[in-house]
Amino acid sequence: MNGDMNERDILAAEYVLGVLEADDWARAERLLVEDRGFALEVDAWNRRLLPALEALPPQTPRPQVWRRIQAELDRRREQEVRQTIIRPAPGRASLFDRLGFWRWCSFGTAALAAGLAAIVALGPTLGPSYMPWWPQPAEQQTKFVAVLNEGAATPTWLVTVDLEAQALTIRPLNESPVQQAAAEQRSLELWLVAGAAPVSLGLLDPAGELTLPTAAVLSPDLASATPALAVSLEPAGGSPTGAPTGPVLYQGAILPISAED
Amino acid sequence: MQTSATIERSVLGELLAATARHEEAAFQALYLETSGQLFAVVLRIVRRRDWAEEILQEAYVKIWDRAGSYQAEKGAPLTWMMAVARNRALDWLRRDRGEASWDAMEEEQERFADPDPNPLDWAIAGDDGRRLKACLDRLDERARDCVLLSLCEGYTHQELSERMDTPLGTVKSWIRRSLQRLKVCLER
Repeated sequence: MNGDMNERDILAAEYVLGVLEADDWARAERLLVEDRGFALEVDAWNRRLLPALEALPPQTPRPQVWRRIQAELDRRREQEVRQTIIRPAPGRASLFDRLGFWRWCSFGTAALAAGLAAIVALGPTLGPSYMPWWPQPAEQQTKFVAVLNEGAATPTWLVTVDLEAQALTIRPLNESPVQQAAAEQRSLELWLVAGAAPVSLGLLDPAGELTLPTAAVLSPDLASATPALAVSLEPAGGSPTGAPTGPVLYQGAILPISAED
Repeated sequence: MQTSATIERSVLGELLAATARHEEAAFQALYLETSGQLFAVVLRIVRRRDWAEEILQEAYVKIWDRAGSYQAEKGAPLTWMMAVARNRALDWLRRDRGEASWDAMEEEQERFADPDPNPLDWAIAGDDGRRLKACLDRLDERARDCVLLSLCEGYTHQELSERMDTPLGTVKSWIRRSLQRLKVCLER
């Protein structure tokens, strides 16, 4: 346990800390590229020091920041497309932005079912290689993510699904709307929409979270249909009928994160 | 048994791996989960929201480009992402601040709506953050102040010397000794 550090170690630590003036900073940046040992030492100091920054309370950037990031990605993809001959995707690279696809199929809260019907109808026209989640027999999708939006574009909930671990987790991205619902003697109920009738996955707890082992009902649906998740406003205790009785407040598509094995 | 911290870490790891495969849905989810933290880090350094937003945007594009280079050796996914954002902010201070003079930044410092001069809330930091806190607490007070000012706000040696009203050489040796002591302490 020797605290003695050589000049290079000290430079790496000071570089991470941020105390270096412009010329030493530039020297450290060059070393980062040229000297693998230096780069590893910088990684070590990042691991030591940066976790303290998790003690800074989060701050919210304006929505335009994401839009500008997206615009940059769109620009790059357009360039790629111009340079690429369109050919059937082997299963991973998709020429269509999955999120973009859902953007121009924007759902109204009352039109969720109609929206899904539209997607299914479009599928055969575009062909399997253009529907990223269209059944590809050779693949085994096991991990999924869904962002549930209020209206067309206000992300409110983040859902992750892991079929291998048999788990689905939903949590709110900001303050949980569940408490407001509870104050009005209502509850928020999560539904899987994949096929004929929505299936209830349960009520969101006051923190807006729900952790489920995924029942067998999820796995065949997620792998072969065009599934979505929706949250509806129900009486306290949930829907009395087994189907959504109140308005759908949030919805989003379940999208695979391709699992590499 | 997985704690919620390890589950969180593995969700971010999955989203980062998917980002490396250029899956935009996962990248958006990653942004939604982490941008609050990264924005806080950048804002603390450059003070002004418009500068911070531009830096944040550039940082996320870098994360998109470099997600494939992330490995567990670099730390938790969030640590790696904070390093990318913070590095861009520190680089901006040295290269792009340009017309934004130090006076302008001083003004921003006063306007910066944070009544709490010590903004760190260790209750929300993870285990690694709290381990570091325990080691920081063992430093002399002024040395610790220097470490936190540079860690959180990006103060250089020169700026620390001015802020602490202490000779440059003294500040440099405080920093050097503190880093050595932190390294030993964290290795325990």
